[in-house]
Amino acid sequence: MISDTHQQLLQCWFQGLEQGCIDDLSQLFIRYPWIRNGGDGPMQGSDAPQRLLRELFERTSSRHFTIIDAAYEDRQLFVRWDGKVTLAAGFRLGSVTLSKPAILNLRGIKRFQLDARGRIEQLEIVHDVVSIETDQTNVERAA
Amino acid sequence: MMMNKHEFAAKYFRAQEMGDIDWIQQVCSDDVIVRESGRSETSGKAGVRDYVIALLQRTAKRKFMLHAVAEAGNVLFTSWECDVEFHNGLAMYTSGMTRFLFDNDGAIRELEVIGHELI
Repeated sequence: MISDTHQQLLQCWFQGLEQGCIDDLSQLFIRYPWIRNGGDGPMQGSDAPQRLLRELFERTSSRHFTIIDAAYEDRQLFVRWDGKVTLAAGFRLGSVTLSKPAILNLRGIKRFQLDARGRIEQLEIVHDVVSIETDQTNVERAA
Repeated sequence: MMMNKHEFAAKYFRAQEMGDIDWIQQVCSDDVIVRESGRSETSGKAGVRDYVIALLQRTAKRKFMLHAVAEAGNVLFTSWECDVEFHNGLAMYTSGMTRFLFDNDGAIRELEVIGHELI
């Protein structure tokens, strides 16, 4: 059970991701946030949210998320989510390049550290790929 | 489970450091589901045992530092960092998040471990 304010923040976050709203999402952060996404090194700075989001929106042509559960305590907001994202054609998966879109089913956890006004100071993202919906016809071996 | 969830988290990660399979099995329900990055989903007490044994086979020493903890109802989230030493002496640092979902008796019904890659 989390407060309406935190529920609203999560809804706003995931809706923004689904709709590709870089500006709306960036406004949820403090001026110099810290972000770490998966195995990538941490990013910090005023442009960190835009870099994270721009890369995600370039790689994916659609995104859908389901919140499983969430908890908030002492400025830490955690959320467990499932996701279904469509990788755009042309995206490289290891040694192959997608000639058609492919769907990734994901599960993950995000941790938001919030300031006193509820803005995001830190965002940490971990996720696993549960499955890939593709077939041999929509990949091309890289040259 | 009689202890509060913050105490539980500290004891759980201490048990992982010590390789205390019995304690970890004891705090899980009979139908617990275990999901860990890079491994197939397992279930039941045997699945928990397999999960911990795999951890012990991969690593010689583990030192967890809890970074953040939050609970709401029957769910507990933790964010952690871990100093890992492998059996060949190689030492690395990793981090990740663990989610515990408890049943109404306080036993772990879902254990999910999603980690950053070793860094």
